[in-house]
Formats: sequence, structure tokens, C-alpha cells
Amino acid sequence: MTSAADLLRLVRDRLDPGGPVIDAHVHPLDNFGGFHIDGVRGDVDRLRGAARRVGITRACLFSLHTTVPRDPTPAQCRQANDYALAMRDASDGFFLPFCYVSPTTPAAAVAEIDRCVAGEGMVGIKLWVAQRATDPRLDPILQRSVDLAVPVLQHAWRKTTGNLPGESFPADVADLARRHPQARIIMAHLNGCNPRGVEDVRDCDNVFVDTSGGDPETGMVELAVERLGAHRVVYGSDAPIRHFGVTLAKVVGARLSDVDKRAILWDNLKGLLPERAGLGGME
Amino acid sequence: MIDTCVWTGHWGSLAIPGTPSDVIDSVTAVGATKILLSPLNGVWAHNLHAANAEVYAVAVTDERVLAAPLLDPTLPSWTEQVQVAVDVGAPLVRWLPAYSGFALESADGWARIVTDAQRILWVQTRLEDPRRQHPLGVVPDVDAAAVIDLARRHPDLAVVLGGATWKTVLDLAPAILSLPYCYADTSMVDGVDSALRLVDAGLATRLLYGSHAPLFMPLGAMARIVFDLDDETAHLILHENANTLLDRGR
Repeated sequence: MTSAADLLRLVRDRLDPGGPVIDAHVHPLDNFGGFHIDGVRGDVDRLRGAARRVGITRACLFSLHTTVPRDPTPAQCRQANDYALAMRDASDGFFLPFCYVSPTTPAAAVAEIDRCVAGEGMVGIKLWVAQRATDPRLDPILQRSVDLAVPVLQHAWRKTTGNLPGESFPADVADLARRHPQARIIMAHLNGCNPRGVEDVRDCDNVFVDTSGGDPETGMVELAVERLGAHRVVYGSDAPIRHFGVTLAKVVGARLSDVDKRAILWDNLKGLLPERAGLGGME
Repeated sequence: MIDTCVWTGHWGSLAIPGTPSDVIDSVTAVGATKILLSPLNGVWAHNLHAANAEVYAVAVTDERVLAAPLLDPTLPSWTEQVQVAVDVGAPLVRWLPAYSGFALESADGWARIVTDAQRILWVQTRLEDPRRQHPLGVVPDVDAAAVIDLARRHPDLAVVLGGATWKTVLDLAPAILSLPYCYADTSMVDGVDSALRLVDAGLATRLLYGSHAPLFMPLGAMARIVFDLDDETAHLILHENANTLLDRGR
């Protein structure tokens, strides 16, 4: 007879990712979740602690500002990015910050990218819902990402109940990818994009999809691998909105080979991030 | 471990491995030893009761399975179905108010019938996130507060709030704790430290482990419990609370 403790240990073993894991999609607790945290230090301790409990090794972090405005001003982007940088510095490099900008003010966005990516060593660019990805004001941002050799993570969703005015559909991300074939774009929220969204980006080899967003539906990661190839899928949690472990289980529990799982959990995103992310030799 | 939220059958907007054996294998593979199984095939049927035969049959042949029939109290024959549940020893019945099309505010007479039958009433507030439903088949969530209000009006009835988010359960925690036989399942409790925060709110004895398989992956459902909670609390949620509750329906 297996004891309750043995069963729990068995389940924890089944959730073991079997190697290092990079999470492509994390926000500070300061942005979401109603946590009472004690500034950057408290944010780092609780968020990193929750991530490490499930085996996350590094986490790409983007602050959307403490007030989470849908179309942030340049000043709000700067404050958000300063917060992400502070979390990086307080976390011994656990958090890998992306630079959050708004295409509504493209010149300011490029200047902020230069400050944060070229100047402060951020490792990517984050775009949310200020403008849809079809908007030409994204173009200078994407061009800068190419110049600086960092990926762009673009939020996307297909909501039956209706997208927000500036919220991109997967087809918008495909349009962006075709306008910028040299850019490397991570389309966020596999489950939110759903199988139709996967088809929308299928012929865009420079689009990768993160596994975050929505519920842990059976078969979605397998579907993404079948349609895009395992090399175009990266693990993402969307924590703290979603649970690190629940989202990790979407990959660990998927009917995929260990090689494909390793690619999704580590190799693919490692290959997208610049060397200064410091991921070499961690396998 | 008791998985209180398991389904079998077909779901139109998501390709799922939904045969009884597929589902039972998937939830037992992550440790479940007892399964409360309900038929998805009834959800969109004009008379959902017809689909219950499948789970009754599985329960007869597989001792790990307890049938959890779907009941639609707007159907004239529903009291006969309550009696079937009693006759076959199904301890828990599920209502889907959003799919059956009734308001819990008008369900007091029906709730008394379930109370008199000494069954546990599970009210499912969501089967699928409305944002990802097929656009021609959008079904809104049931107001979770209305479930708790129903439980308050029927204190002798054991009521389970099914499919609510962690924030909803957290907001309703004082009301849940004020009722002797009111519970919530964990199938849609997501977010960093979510189960931990519900436990911190005093709900350790009122949470029931549910996977929502095969719509959701059972390993993920387990993850939210085993990563964040100590073994004793995890055991309450994974087994003890459901065991105690099911005793009322046996």
C-alpha cells in the first residue's frame, strides 16, 4: 500500500523538468495578483521562490508598470523598466528583463530600447496591447530589435468575447513577422491564440510561440509542436497570473519526446537570447 | 487521492482523449484512486440525462469510479433521475445552470429535492473559459456568489462550488466557512501561490481536488497542490475533505 507521502513524492517526481528551465513570460507581483509585497526585495523573494519550487532556472521578466495601463506613456514605460532592472539586480541574475515599450510613441520607444537594451543589458523587447501588430508604428521597434539582436515578445490572443482595441490577433503577429523577416518574434499565449492562431503563424519561420495563457488544456502543446515544430515552441508561464507548476506541467506532461521537451523548456529560448543572458554552461 | 472533477466524452471545441479508459488512465497516472466521473456528452444535449448511462455503466465495472450524474431540474422527469442516482449509489449530482438555462435564485424547490435525497449538490460555474469557446456556442459563467447564496438558504444541503477561479473562492471564503457543508474545487484555481492563499484564508478543510480532465491536464491540477502545500494540507485537499464529504452522500 502506497502511503500518502509516497504518492505526493511520486507526483513531484513526475513534475521534475529533468534539466534547467527558462520561463519566457513572467511579470512582477507588483503588476498582477493582489499580493502585498515589500518592494523589489519582497517581489524577488516571493516570485523567485515560487518559480524555484517548481524547477525554473531563469525567467524573462517584463513589468507592465504598477498601474498596468493599456497604453503607457514613455514615463510609465521607463518606471516599469527601472523596476524590472532592479529585480534583475536583486535576484543574482535570475530574472532576465525585457524592455517594455509602447508603439504609440515610436521615437520614445526606440530611445527606451537604446537605454535599456543597449545601455543596461536587457535581453529582449516586450509589446503588449497599446497598438495592434499591424500598426506601422511598430516598425522602428522591430528594426531596433534586429539591430540589437534581441527577440520581441508580442502579446496575442483570439478572444471569442472580443479583443481589446489595441490587442493583437495571431494573424497580426504573422503580418508583423512578414514585414520584418530578420526579426525574431515570440508570440505570447499559445492557449489564448488557440489552434486557429497556430495556423495563422505557421508559415512564419521567425515566429515562435510561448506556451502561456489560458487554461492547461489537454493537447495544446502537442498541437503546437505538430504544426510548428518543437524548435518554434518555448515554455512560458505568464506568472503570477498563472501558476509556474501548472504551466510547466503543460510541457512536462505532454506526449512529446524528452528531446522536444528539453528544446521547449531550455534550448529554443536560450538560442533566441543574447549571450549576455548568461545561459551558457548551465545545462 | 480523490479526483472530484472528471469528465468523459466529446467536447466540440477541443480535441480531447475522452473515452472512459483514456480519462481514467490519465487521472490515475498522477495518483487518483477514486474518480467522480460525469458525461460531457450530456452537456449540449436537449435531455442531458440520457448521457448518464455511460458513467453509471463505468462505475459498475470499475471500482475506482463513482458516477456523478448531470441533472437538469428544468426537465419534467428530473426527479426520476434523482431517484436513479439514489438507487445506484451515486453520492453526488452535478448541476450546470448555464447550460440547462435556469437561475439559482429560482432553484430552491429543486435544491430541497436534492437535500431530501441526501445527495451532494455540485454546481459547475464554468466548463470552458468564455474567451476560448466557439463563437456560436458561448456560455457565460454562473455567478459563484449565487451558488453560495443557494447553500446559505439550504444549510443542510452539501454544496460544492465547481470551477471557480482562486480569486472568486478567496472572496467567498468567509461565506463558505460560515456554512457547515460548503466546499469549492481546485480545478480552476490558478496563479502563483493560489492554493496557498486559499489555505491561508482558512479553507484547507473546504477545498476538493479536481482536475477537470480530460479538458485540462491532470498533472497541472496536481502541480498547484503538491508544489505549494505541506504534505498534511495537500492530503486534506487531495483525499480527506472529499472522503468526509462523500460519506454524507453514501
